[in-house]
Amino acid sequence: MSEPKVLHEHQPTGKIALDPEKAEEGLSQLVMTVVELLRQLVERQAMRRVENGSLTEEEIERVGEALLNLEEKMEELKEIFQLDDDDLNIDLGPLGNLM
Amino acid sequence: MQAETNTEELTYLYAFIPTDEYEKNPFPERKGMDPEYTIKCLPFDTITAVTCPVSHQEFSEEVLQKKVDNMQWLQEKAFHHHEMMNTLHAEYTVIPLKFATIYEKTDSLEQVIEEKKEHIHSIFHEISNQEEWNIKIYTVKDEFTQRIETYHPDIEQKKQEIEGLSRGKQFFEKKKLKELILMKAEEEIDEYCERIHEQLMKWSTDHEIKKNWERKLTGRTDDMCWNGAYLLPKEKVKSTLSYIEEERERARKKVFPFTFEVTGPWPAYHFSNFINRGEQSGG
Repeated sequence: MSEPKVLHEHQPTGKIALDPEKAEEGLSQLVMTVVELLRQLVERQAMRRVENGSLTEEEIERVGEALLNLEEKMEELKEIFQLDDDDLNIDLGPLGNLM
Repeated sequence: MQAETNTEELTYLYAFIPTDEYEKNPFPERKGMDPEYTIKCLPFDTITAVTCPVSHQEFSEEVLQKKVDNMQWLQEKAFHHHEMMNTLHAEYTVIPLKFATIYEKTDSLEQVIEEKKEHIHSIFHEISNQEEWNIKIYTVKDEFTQRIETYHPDIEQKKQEIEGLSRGKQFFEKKKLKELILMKAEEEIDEYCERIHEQLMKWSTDHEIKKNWERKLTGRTDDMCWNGAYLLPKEKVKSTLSYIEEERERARKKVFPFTFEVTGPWPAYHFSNFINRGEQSGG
């Protein structure tokens, strides 16, 4: 990944900024949103499997640790791109927020 | 609303009031929804319709559909409607009608009144000498949740149990704990609001629990957690408001602060819906 540029301070809008002048910022936000969505889906699926008892103790430990590392990595990336949780969400209007 | 293009004037209907109250205290001359015309009270036997003629060019269905997109026009007209309701409510027992209830001919209005006469009278009876008050309760849910996390004994115990687990298991248990904290916070907020509501029900003759509004609607920095409309007999208003004031004081001193927003008296908007939306269209 190339060295990210320092982004401007902004207010979360619940929308992806795809301004042609700031395409790079908008793209990183979009990619991060998709990754976060996938991460949360995987996490929920894992949680379901833990709760219905379909994982062994060893598997729970392994999956839990992997998800923890992934979560920590996402936090680092959010800091690098100066994004917060609200930025990684999309306002779907009457359907509510994406996450 | 159904309107024919060949009609010059339509009839905008604000409300129904009892004719005997109107006769004792006639409504003063006042500009109507269409400023070209004044308010007209039309007695139909024991029920008086508070109306205003409106021009077909300004208020026909086709024109109205376009005008509702004009926020300035809509705001001005909705405010006029609202003000009229408050004025009527101060003087009479009033059944308020929805904004933009328009009849093509007074004959059809008369026919509706005739058909719904008994129901209108029963609503007059139910809302007579009563006032609608709206009570909203707010708290900052994030802060409330954080305090639950810090102070709740069950949560503290659970946290200690998690500390002893391996790293991978901790991940899942912490997620479950987060859900538990959110659930406890919701439970405590609901319990608090329900307790207030139970007390309010003792004084009110009717109530309606409404949907909580989101921050973008309220424009506030805290979250609405209760939104109720209460129909109160006039003699119970004072004790109800004193109770709310006491609760407001108590809530200020709590670890978990709640704030109250009380508005009223309003006409009985939530307790006088005698015609459903489909029937309400003028014909």
